[in-house]
Order: sequence, then structure tokens, then C-alpha cells
Amino acid sequence: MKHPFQKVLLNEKGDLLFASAGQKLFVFQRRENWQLTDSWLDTVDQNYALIKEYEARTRKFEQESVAGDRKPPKVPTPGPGAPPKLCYIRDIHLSRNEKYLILTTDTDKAVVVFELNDGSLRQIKRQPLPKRPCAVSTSLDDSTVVVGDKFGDVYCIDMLSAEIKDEKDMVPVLGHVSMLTGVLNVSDGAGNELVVTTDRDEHIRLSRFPQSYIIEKWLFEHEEFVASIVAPRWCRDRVLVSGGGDPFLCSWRWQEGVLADKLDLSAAVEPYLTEEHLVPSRFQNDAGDLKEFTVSQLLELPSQNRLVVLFDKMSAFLVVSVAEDGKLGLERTVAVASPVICGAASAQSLVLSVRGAENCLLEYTLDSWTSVELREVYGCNDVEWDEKGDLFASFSVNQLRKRSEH
Amino acid sequence: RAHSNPFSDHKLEYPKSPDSMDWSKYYPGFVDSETGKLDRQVEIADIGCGFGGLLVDLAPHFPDSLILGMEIRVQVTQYVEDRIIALRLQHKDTNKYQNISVIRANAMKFLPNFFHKGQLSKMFFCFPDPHFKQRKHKARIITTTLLSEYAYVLREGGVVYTITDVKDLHEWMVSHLDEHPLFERLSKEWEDQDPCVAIMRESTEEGKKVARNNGDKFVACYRRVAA
Repeated sequence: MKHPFQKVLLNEKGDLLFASAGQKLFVFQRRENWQLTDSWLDTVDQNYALIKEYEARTRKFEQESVAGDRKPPKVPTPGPGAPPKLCYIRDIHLSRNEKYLILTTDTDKAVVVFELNDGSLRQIKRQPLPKRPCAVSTSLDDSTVVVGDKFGDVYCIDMLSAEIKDEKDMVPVLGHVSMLTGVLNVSDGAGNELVVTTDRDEHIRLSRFPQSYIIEKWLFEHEEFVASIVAPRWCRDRVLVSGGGDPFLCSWRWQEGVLADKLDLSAAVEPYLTEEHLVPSRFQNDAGDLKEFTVSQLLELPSQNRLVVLFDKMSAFLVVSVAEDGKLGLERTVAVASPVICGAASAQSLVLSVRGAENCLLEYTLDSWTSVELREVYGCNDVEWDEKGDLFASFSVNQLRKRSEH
Repeated sequence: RAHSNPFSDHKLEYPKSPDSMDWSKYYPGFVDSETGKLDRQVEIADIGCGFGGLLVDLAPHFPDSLILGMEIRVQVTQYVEDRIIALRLQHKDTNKYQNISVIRANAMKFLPNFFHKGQLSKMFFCFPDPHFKQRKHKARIITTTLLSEYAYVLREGGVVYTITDVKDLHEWMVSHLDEHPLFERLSKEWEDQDPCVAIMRESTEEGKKVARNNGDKFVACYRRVAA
């Protein structure tokens, strides 16, 4: 079975498509059809952390040992019962000027920066981080990659200099005591830059940038983790829209720090809830029919002043309008043949990676909401999946939900 | 238990936002009879208040200020709660100890859920868990990144008080506070004349234990400066 694309990204014009399957990234360019123009494979050993630890121990041993009075350190190896290690290219991100592509790896927990030239990639730098990166943004001037990790820390990495820091010497510019789920640099329209950070503990924090030690405000309304946050560009720096484990979306007039609107999605989503949305048995009700859903991704459609709302394991998506004052409106629900994994949008189209028998890509026309399968694209995907276990579980964001045993 | 993991998802109650926090049951003596709400806000916080020694000694010094102890351990919080209830009963003629209270909370995760920007004038960090191991350092209560949150809830001119008997931790706290652009160390002379420093040295259970063992106590106080 082919490994599905776990992450896709379009450029603004919609003539470049980036898609990652497992540890491989593919770049497609639209001419007559989508054509593969480049690809990149993360070849760093999956046991990078173990190897590094072994090297450190060996170095220490060589420095400290005197004439063979101690045994050399053993090579740490995962035991036979160890679960398979799933390493992915987690995030793909374009700089604002679309000249650079940034991705994050699981192997060495790195941020990798590429220069883009007519659909081909030239690697500029690869900066490993102390913890696994899970959210990426770029500063408004595209000089800095701002990356958040699973430990709650945010680091700034100079995008273009070739200098690589030792991961031990990296100092966070801000931190939450929680897993970060989003990082987003925004402008206040008056020449000031801020960085928005979201976490698993319902927080949305706004800090100045680069003086990120100055916290401007928190936006409170979410009752579950925040999975996705966007600043719709047609709202001219005034509005943020966020979603995640809650059954609603929030929109914020963030400069005033107020909730602009709240849109309940339960009714629209209800017909598409399946067995997969049942709450785990330990937290289930007596009737056993309690279901929950999660907003996994918000995608901007700037040509329509709308957002596409994707959900975890759901065979449908929603189209939501966002007015300049932040007012939200449910425009339509679009059913999809199979559950959606992830998506990307451009000015002209929407591309979804879905979980079919063939793990395919669908491209939607924005006005008619009809789709075609991008067979030529997934035909190029040569990443195979033959491990045991639930492949799709690892793309689920619902696992961020906090469950209490008590 | 002496320790609690600040990173885990304890079953914790915390308000969705500072506005949704109902303080009336914590400070019944300061409830405005017309609105049913407090007539003032919490102003002093003791983060990781332990058995409440500092709260009890601060109470008579700041009779008009509300003082809150935050503690992550359930049983310890319960003990402090009982202690305060008993004190209030004992002093019900004079209405003493109405201005102190305790709440079970993970201050490292949820401080901004409890307090507005600039709400606090003093924050105490007395004998915090030293988390000796290198890889546990992020669990320390004073880190450069958390200091930004403390700076957010503190008003300009507000003070962070730290005291510990672990020299290494003291140096760590000082270096992180020194590094933070929104904090400025207060002088030895300032410490000597500040009543809270004296109370902090003498009143907490940890402080008394250290004194009995003739241990050292390291104090550092910092003022929240303008951005």
C-alpha cells in the first residue's frame, strides 16, 4: 500500500504543489498537468537521537578513561519489542515571499530550509532542535523562521545564514508550559509585529516580536486545545480565527482583545460523524453513543473571503465566510468520498489528501465545489507503507484532547 | 508527597479567563453585599505556598490587600484551607485572616487564567522545588520564558521575591531574572528595609527547617520595570 500524503501545500498562485509522504517531499508544477519537478528524501537515520547519545558517551569515555580500566560504552539499540518508529516530514511551510520552503523532520527534529527555483529545491540549512518541532511561522520580513516545539518552547532561526547552532546552545525566545500547536506572525497594521502562539491548554497568546518577552494579551474562550489559527488576509490585520477540540470556531478582533464571533459547527457536522468519532470507552456514556469531533485545519480562500474548515477523520468539509469585522457565517458543507487527511488552498483551488483505497489527492474548483482526482500526482508517490498498526492514527489531532482519569 | 509534575494534566479546575473567576467563596469577608462580587482584586500571590506559613504571617501586615496562595498538591492545599478556616473562626470578632486564601492550581500552566494584566503587586517564590537534574530544569518555577508571564500579571513597580536554601538554584534564578529585560534586581539595602523579606526569611515552614539546620538562605528580589 502506498503511504498517503500527510501534508500538502500550495503556493498562492496555485501552480506549485508540495506534498509529503512519510519522509519524502515531492514538488509538482502545474503546466498542462501537474508535473513532478523535484523531490527530497530525509535520509537521516531514524535512530539519530540514540546515535548522538552513543557518540557523546564515547567521547566522554575517551576523554576520561585511563588505560582501559573501564569498558567502552555500549551501542544503544532498540529491543526487539520496540514499536516501529514513525518518522515524518511534519510541516511544510512557504516563506511569505514564496522564495523559500521550510520543513520540519522527526528524525533529527530539524528545521530544513530550501531555496525554491522554478520548482526545484536547493537546501540552505538544516538546524536540529532540542525537541520535536511542531509549528512553523516566518517573521514578516522573512528573515527568521519562528518554530515552536512539543515542549512549548519557541525558537528563532536565521533563515538564510549557513550557521548551524548546537542544539544545546539554542535559547528559546518564548515558552508555554504546554505543547505548542501553532505559531503565527502577524502585523497590527501600524508597523508593529506580533507573534501568536497557541497551545494544548486552550491558550492563545499574543507577544511582541521580536521582543517576545513582552506579552500583550491572551485570548480566552476555548475550552479544549487549539489546533489551527489563521489571520485571514482580507480582514486587514484585525481578525484571527481559531479552532480545535471545541465544537465551535472563534473569531477575534485581536487588537482589542475581544471575541468577535463564535460559530457552532455541531449541526453541520453531525451527519458526518461515524464510529471513528466515538469517545473512547473509558470516557463513554452509558448509551455508548457519545461522539466528538475536532477541527484539524483552517485554510484561507482569499479570492472568496472564506475559510475551508477540515476535521479529523471526516468525509466532509465546511466553507465558512469571515467578514472584515470577524463575523462568521456557515456557507456550505461539502461531502467528500473518503475521510480527509489534510488540505491546502490557493487563490484558485483547494487540494485535499484523502484516505481512499488508493490514498489519493482531490482538487476542487472553488465555485462549483466539484473535484477531480489528481492521478498524475499520486502516481509519482513511490513511498510504500507496510508496517503494522494504524497508519492514520498518527495524523490525528484528536489525540491532543485532555482526558482526566479522576 | 514532596513533588508534583507540573507538566502533567492533573484534574485541575481553573477558570476559562480571569473574568470568569468567582473569587467570592475565597474571600467572603470582602464580598460587596450589593453586587455579590469582591470589592477588590487579589494583589499578592504566593506561588507554591506549601503549608501557608507566609500567608498567615503576611495577613496582618496587609489587612487591606487580598493575598492568595497557589499550591499544586491536593492534600497540602486542603491543609492550608483548613488552617485558614480555623484562623478565621478563632479571630471572628476581629475579622482577621479574611484577606488570605488558597487555591489548588498549576501556576506554571494557568497563571494568566487567574489574573489580569498588571493585577499583582507582589509575587513570592519561597523555597521552590530545586529540580536538580539538568533535564528537569524546565520544571523550575523561575525560567526566562515563564518570567514573561510573571511580568504580564505584575504591575510596573511590582516585586518578585525569591528565597531558597539551594545555592545552585539561587544562582539559576538570579541569572534568569538578570537576563530578563522586564526585571531589575533590588539592592541589599532595599531587602534590609523591606518587611516582606524579613517575613519570608522567618515565616515559612521550609525557612524554619533551614534555620533549625543552620542552613543558608539566599534571597533575591526584583522589580518589574516598564517595557
